[in-house]
Amino acid sequence: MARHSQRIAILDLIARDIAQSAEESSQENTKKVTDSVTLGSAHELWLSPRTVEKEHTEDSLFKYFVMKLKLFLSHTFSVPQTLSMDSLMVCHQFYLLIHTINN
Amino acid sequence: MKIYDSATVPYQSLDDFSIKYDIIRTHEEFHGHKCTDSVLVQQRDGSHNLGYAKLLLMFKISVSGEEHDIVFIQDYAVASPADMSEDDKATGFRKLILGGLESTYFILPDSIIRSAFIVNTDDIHENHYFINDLVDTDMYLCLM
Repeated sequence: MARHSQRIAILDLIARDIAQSAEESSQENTKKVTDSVTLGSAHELWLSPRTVEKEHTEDSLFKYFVMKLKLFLSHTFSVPQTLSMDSLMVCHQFYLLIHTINN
Repeated sequence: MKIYDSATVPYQSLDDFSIKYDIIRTHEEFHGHKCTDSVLVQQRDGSHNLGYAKLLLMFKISVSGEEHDIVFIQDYAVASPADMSEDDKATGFRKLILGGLESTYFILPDSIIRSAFIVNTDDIHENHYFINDLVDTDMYLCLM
């Protein structure tokens, strides 16, 4: 019950805030987002890219995700689907990651 | 393939129409803990509905001498009323269910709208989450 009251109080505050903001924004509503998403603005975590190791190329899950990546690249950037795994330089971290995805 | 632990996402606030910036992260050791942020994304079918996703990987890949920025995500689906307990409904938050391997996608970074505060509902259902619409006014308006 207390949580419900607290939520109503917060919503009330937000509603007042919205009303005030709408008034203030009338002068500024022509602003547009001109920047795009910037990767790695902080720092890179994993040091250097590594080519995929031989045994990973036999892994069916890994092959499935590399195929998914190739399809995406092909549809989005017209990259040929015939690219080899090595040419994509898919790294070891990607291999590790796909085996930790919750299923 | 070069992996990045963070990205800066600019967005226009629905609150005051100013330009704001979110830093989103997929970091193995962020202040000693794994940090995997969630985001609001544009739907791939072009509809105006919002999509919800967990960031798995942000990377640059070089193909034929050209570099491309790509984000690997795992989608959350909005829970049906049948998936919500009375306690879930009492919170007032929208409930999401994290999909499995079939819910993973590659997207362009520009499909990301902003970060989202999405947290586990409880310890029993590992893939059940709430999206918090009260983190700021823009998020409240996004999810209205």
